[in-house]
Amino acid sequence: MIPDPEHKLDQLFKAYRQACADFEPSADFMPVLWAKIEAAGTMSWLVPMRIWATRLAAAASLAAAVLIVSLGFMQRAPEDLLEAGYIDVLVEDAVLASDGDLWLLGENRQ
Amino acid sequence: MLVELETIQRAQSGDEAAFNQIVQAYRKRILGTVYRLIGHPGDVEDVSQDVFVRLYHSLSQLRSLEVFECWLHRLTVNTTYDYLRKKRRSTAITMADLSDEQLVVADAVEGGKQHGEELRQQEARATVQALLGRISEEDRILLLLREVEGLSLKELNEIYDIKENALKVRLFRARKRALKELERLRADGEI
Repeated sequence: MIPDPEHKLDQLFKAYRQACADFEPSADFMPVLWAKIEAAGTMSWLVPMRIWATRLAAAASLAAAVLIVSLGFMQRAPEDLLEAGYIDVLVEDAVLASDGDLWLLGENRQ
Repeated sequence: MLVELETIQRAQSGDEAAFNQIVQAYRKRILGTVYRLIGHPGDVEDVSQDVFVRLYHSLSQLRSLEVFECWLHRLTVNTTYDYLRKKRRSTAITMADLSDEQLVVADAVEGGKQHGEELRQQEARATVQALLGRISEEDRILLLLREVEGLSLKELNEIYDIKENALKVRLFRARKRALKELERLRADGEI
């Protein structure tokens, strides 16, 4: 009878589980463990620092993006103002000119 | 339980002697689990210590002391799983470990020095390690967790965070691939 391969695989894993059941710790297991715990304890203040640094970096990026967009608008704004000013000046000139014409007309009437 | 509930309680409130007691009671069990999952003795102590470091810093979060052992087991599996995912397996190292194991077996057979049971165990380790060395990292971790550590589908779901059906399919395929590689190992005369 041919053995079921699935069963053979199960048996193999079972044998492996039993073969790896014991692992003896070395003599310096505990001292090294406590050194790691202490190191993790002293480093633990870095975790909130890292979180705050990440948040700060995100806020700085956002502020920089806002600043760039604002500067973009501001660069456009003087042209708009200048154009508006130019039109205003033209209108003003036209008004002045028409006033002058009226004034001249009035003077001629006299 | 290998320790009294009161010892866990004391450890939770920062009693280092109580924590030491817990480590001493459970370290062999943890080392064994990590060893089975990693498959080579190299980093077993290191990963096991990481388990206890995590335990030390999270023990205060444990509300129900009765589930301590279950919780510690999950902590062990998760820590080892993180280690396995982070560490990209070097084929050269695996092959080196494997040949050492096989050399020991060969020597034992040759010299007839070792006890039958011990020899059988070494053969089992060598065969499974040879098999695990031939399958993908994902299959290897999944099969070890399921077949060697005996994690239930529910426990695996908590680790993988995928639907149970998807997990079953993954397991089925991983087993099929492992079986195929086992046949190849036999055909190649490596086991």
